[in-house]
Amino acid sequence: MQIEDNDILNLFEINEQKAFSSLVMKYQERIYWHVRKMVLNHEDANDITQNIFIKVWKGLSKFKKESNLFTWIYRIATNETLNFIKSNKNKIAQSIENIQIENRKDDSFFSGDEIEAKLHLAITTLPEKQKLVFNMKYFDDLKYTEIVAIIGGTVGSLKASYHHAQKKIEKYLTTN
Amino acid sequence: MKKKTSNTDNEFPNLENLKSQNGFKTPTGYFDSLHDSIMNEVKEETKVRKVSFYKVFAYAASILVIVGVSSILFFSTPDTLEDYDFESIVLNYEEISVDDYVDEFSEIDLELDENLLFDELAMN
Repeated sequence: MQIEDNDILNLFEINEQKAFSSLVMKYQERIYWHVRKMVLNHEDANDITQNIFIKVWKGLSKFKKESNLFTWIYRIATNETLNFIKSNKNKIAQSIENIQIENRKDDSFFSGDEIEAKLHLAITTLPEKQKLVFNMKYFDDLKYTEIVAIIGGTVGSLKASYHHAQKKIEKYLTTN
Repeated sequence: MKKKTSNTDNEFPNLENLKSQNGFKTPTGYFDSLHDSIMNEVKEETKVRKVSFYKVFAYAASILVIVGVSSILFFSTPDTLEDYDFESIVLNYEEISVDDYVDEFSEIDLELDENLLFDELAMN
């Protein structure tokens, strides 16, 4: 059974590293995949994920218990990912090329079939914020209120954004 | 876990069929090693923080001693340096020896990297 966020925060007051270890165990996979779906490349996702958790470690002592630990971590993860994307447009473009079937090599980081590759290529055509909304709703099944806490906006605007993203992707999947 | 279907799912049949599928892969045992890498970085980060604190404290103490001794020398007007009772001055920093003050003050070579002090302060 997974440790509760409040238990992590309470443990942090007694044993910081033990508490943080539990936090990493609980969130590392979710954060990694959140990053990976945005940057596509495993090595980049690995570096960014480690940076995220170091930032979480440095900020945890100042974290207010009344806030939501989960959305706070996701917010850090999202900001780090967007900063990386902003500074590494060429790398992202290369990673997109690597997904395309005709460029796939045997040791590719992508093992999905053609339709899965198309899905990720379709997602790359979305604006960054819409991409985030789509990933968090479609893959992570987060509530709209949680997504608002992570990237801002309103529930209404995010619902609309998600719907537009679904339409664009569905069209891409049927026409490409 | 099977995801809930909604009224809009028929509008996006391809998306519905692809749910929960990823396609990306990670190296074998990746998440075990990720946890260990992060914890090692955290331990290193904690060590650096502790060493920096002690270094800053040591350099600050040495500066205080130098300022203190300089002030005594500057504001007093002895006939000779021999009039000073250097042994009564309490020195906190172990590298500074009382014997160093027996000779001319200008001959004392105290190694103090003030730049390092300010660099340490900037890192914290």
